[in-house]
Formats: sequence, C-alpha cells, structure tokens
Amino acid sequence: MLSFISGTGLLDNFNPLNYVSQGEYVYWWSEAYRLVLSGFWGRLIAALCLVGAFWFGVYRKMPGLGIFLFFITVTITYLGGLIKAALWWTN
Amino acid sequence: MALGKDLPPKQDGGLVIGTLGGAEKPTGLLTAISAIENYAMNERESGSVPHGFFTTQNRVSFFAVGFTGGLVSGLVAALLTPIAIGVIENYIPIFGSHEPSLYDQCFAFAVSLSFSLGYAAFISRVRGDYVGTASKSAINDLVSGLATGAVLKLIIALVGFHFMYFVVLAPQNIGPLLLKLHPLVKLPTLEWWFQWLGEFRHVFLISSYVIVLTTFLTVATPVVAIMLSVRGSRRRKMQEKKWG
Repeated sequence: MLSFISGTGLLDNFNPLNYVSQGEYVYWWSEAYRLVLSGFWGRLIAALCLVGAFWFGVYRKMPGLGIFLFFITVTITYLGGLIKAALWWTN
Repeated sequence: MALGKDLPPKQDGGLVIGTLGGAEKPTGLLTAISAIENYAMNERESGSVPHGFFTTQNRVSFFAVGFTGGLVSGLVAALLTPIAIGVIENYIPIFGSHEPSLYDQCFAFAVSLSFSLGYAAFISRVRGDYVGTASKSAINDLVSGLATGAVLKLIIALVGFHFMYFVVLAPQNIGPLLLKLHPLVKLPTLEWWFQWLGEFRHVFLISSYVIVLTTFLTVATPVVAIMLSVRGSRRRKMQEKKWG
C-alpha cells in the first residue's frame, strides 16, 4: 500500500541511522535516559512536575494540567527502572 | 455536618439564584465547584435560600460527583502505594536506581499520596463558600460523596491486596502459573521471578494498611479545611461585632 513511498525512498529519510552511526545514536539515547530518567536532573524534573501538579491543579484551578504533570512525574519516577528491567529481560 | 449558622434570608426580595431548583446538574468536579461558588456568591448577596430549595436531585448529583472522584482518585493512589512500598523496601527501582536514598523513598511515598491529596485539596477550595443553605448542602453532599467513595476504595483495596497476598502470589499458586510460561521464558529467569514475587508479596499486606492512612487524609483534608474556615469567619464576625 505504501510501496510508492518506499519506492521513492521517502521513508528512508526518517531513518536516523542514515545521518548518524548506530553507536552515536545509542549514545544519544543513553545520555537522554541518564539526564531525564535518572540522576540529579531526573529527580529535579520529577520534583518540579509534582510541585507544578499541585500548583496548577489545586491553586490555579487547572485540574487537567495538574493531572498531566502528575502523570509526567510518575513516568519520570518509574520509567527508568522499567527500561532497565526491559533491557535486562532482553539481554 | 452543620459547621456554621445559615445566613438569614433577606427581606427585600433580592434573591438572584437562577440555577437552583434542580435545573443544574453537575457533571464533574469543576461544574460542581463552579455551582457551589455560584450558590455562595448569590447567598452572600441575597441571603440564604429557603430549606428545601436545594432539591433531592441536586443533592444526589453533588454526592455522585464526590463519590466518583473519591473512588477514582483513591484507586490511582491504591495502584501507586504497593509500588512506593516496593521502592522503600528495595524491590522496585526508582529513577533507575535499585538503591534509593532517603529522598527517593520519601518522594515515592509522596507520589503515591499526591493524587488523592490533590483531589481532596481541590475540593477543599470551596471552604470559603460554606455560607448559606444551598452552598452548605452542596458542600456537605460533595464531601460525603468523597468520603463514601474513599471508604469503598479502601474496602476494594483491602480485599484486593489481601487476595494478592493470600491467593494470587501464594507460592503454591504462583509456582504453577509461572511454569506455564516455560517455553517462552527460561527456567533460571522464572526461578528469579518466583523468588522476587515470593519476597515482594508482603508489600501488598503493608500497602493495604497504608491505604487506610491515605483514605483518612483524603477525607480529613476537606473536612478540616471547612471547619477551620468556618471557625475563622465566626471569629472575624465576633471581632467585627465587638468593634461595632
């Protein structure tokens, strides 16, 4: 169905390995993981999101944004461990 | 739960409440709180509405909004509590680390409490609107609904967590269940899972009693906030009388 796209090589433009090596690509993602989901910055971002959830959800009466920030907090807090478990499982 | 005295109806016929009398039915927490603010504003302006003006349908719909919120927010907290206890007991990693610091342990606990407490704190925002018959009835029904939903959640969580501990994760049940995964999962991995689940299962027992604390805080937050607000406004009125 998408043969006309793949025939023209359009989808290949979306492949990141056309622009960077696999090693570099994996390094970027592990750096992103290290920055956002673990260590000091992960803890800081999660704490700010939790405070923001209360600030916007309760104080500023914006419950939608509060719930969104709360779920970001939960994601940052536990996704690192989940990814580690998944990597352990696949190895 | 009559925490304060009703405002006397004014004699000038200046009642301006237009949305009462069963016409408006709150569909969610935001509409319920908006309606309460509306009732309170009108009752401050025009005095308390007569008893019975706040219909049974109104009462049930405010109760339903509180009930749904109490149940749903409580279930989110109930899901996060075993994870938080798992972090504290070093079974579950937090921020990708298996060795949580004191900050991490407190943070996990705070996250598990936050949703329920945030919901209760949001409801507590109506504490300043506890002024007339309609607004008091609406707030009382909303908070009673929240309390009922929270207690139902507590019962569900207590039964569910004990079921997990005594039935689902009991060694004699979890062993055969894990063995069914054998072709898909290697035996050493299954053995590790069996050991981990065997040690982790007591977390559910601890969680079922931590949930009691969460429920208490969820119910106490709006009740205490309203009581303090009513006491504060009484004191203010007494002071105003004293000063003439």
